[in-house]
Amino acid sequence: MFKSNRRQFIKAAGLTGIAASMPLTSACASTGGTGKARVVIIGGGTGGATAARYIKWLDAGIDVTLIDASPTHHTCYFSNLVIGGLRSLESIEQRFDKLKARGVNVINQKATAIDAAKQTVTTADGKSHSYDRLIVSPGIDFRSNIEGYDAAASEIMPHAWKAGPQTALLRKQLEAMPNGGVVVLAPPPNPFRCPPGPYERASLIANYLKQHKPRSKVLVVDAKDKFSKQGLFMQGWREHYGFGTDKALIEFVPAADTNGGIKRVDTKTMTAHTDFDAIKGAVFNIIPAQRAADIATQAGLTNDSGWCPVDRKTFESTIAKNVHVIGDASIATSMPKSGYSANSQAKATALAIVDLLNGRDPGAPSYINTCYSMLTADQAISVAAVYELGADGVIKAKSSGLTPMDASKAAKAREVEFAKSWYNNLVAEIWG
Amino acid sequence: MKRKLLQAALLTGLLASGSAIAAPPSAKALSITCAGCHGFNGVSVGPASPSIAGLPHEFFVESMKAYQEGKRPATVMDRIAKGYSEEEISLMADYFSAMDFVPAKQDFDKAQVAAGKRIVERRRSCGTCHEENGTFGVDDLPQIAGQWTSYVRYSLEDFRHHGRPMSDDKTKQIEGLSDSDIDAVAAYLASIQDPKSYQHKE
Repeated sequence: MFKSNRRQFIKAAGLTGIAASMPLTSACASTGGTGKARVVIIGGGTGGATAARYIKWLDAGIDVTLIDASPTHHTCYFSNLVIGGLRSLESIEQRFDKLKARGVNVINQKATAIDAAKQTVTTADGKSHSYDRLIVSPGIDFRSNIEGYDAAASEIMPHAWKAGPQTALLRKQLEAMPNGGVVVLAPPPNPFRCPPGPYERASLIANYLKQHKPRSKVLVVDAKDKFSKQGLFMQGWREHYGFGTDKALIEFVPAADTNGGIKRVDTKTMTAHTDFDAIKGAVFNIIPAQRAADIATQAGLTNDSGWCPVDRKTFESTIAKNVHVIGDASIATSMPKSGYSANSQAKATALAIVDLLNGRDPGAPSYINTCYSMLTADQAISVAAVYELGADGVIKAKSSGLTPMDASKAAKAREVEFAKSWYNNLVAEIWG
Repeated sequence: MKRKLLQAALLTGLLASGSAIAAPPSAKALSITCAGCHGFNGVSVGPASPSIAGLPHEFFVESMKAYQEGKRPATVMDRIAKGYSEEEISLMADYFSAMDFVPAKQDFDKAQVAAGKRIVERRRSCGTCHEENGTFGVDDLPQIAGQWTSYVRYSLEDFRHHGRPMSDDKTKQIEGLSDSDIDAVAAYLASIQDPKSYQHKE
């Protein structure tokens, strides 16, 4: 049969291709031919762990070290389902055992310094780790745009914008809140991690309130006037949570109404202040403005924006040679700061680094972002885009689109199943 | 002809080392971005995103074209397919069609399997295109046995209710299937997990 013959031919071609890319040269020029090429990765989240797995897969001869302060990683994606009571915190906890089994050295220490000139990373235990190429995938830290909101305040008014104990704390507060209590949710100004995240969170908190505390509501006091998937979210809020009525489980206050959202919080009186109002609440979810995480800032990898400028072909820093910054911390032009973006950037970077360490010019990159947001336990919406690197060095969407506004209930139910598949496949390929 | 040249290039490793600015991303660079939804190496861990490892080349290309043109109902694939050129789609089809299909490890309703088998056997012409209990597709149709159940169910629903184009013969087979019939057929296809069933009819 012709088909079978051709398929066999392609298989043969694929095999030969694999053989041709075997790591014959990973003891490369940068190490003077004396040892294995070394890649160090800071951050075991989506970007860092994806890069670790893919570099090992592409070239097993490269020595890969992953440094993370925590022995486990809680994914930010699906943490809103934990907050809404639809999943357990354990179900979003990822471990590094499989990466270790695949030959990645995992160091459970905080990275404290980067010396780009000496090409070393220092960890909290005082040890130094040499690299030929460094990947920095540290995520975000917060700016102090809200007076009175610091680390101590976040134990009373959680941000829950880094998944883990903060997620559990917000969930616990929602469970303890009396029926009739107001949940004040303060989304941050742009740019920030997971643009639709605060609004999915409002949806899933409302979903919980609807069933358990129907006299309560979520008051979204935004630092912006507009947000991601806004039309679809508001449509869903009208349909499921009485949005726009006097029985609304979600109210939205745009920045224009408060002159820029919440400016100050007082954890003693449980009050948030805008320029005009004092807002009392039972639970406060304060999500501050963001920037690249501390290690990137301290290492001087950021520009005036607080984020890390990179060459978008290889994600190599335009400030420090041999240092690549991926994920939320990087400036990736039109790609949003999302888990799927970090995953896609990590793969492009892994390909580029393996090429560079083997003395090859990196090929053209390709990127995707796909992001689902849950409106209820069984209705979801999405955004999806494919990106390319333009000749001007800017990442541009080649196609992009949202769930249509007239999507049926059955279509939005399918989105939930695809969202679960998205989560399962993503974490399986990264940490599984 | 173009594809043959590309395959030849792949064979000799020229494509991997090519660095001309105008060159598209490599088959690998394009294809590994799919894994976040379709699984590492195109083998989905479910529950709904289909495995795409082992999809026949033509089926992959035709599916992407149908998504681009809005001819096949989609959740996100219509939006994603529009981001790729014909050449890029062909490269991804090369990549995934060179892999083996791996049946999904999934639970299925055992009580429904017999009912599903009866439905399929009554519709004898199912087997003229989906040979060997759905483990082999004629004319570049994909294997349907062992695919994720939700995906099989969505596909049947799309053929029946949402205007997914199909042959006249398929229309005849699918007309009259109730929702519970579809569940039974999906359970039957999920139950075929014996690796021996997957040996290609070469």
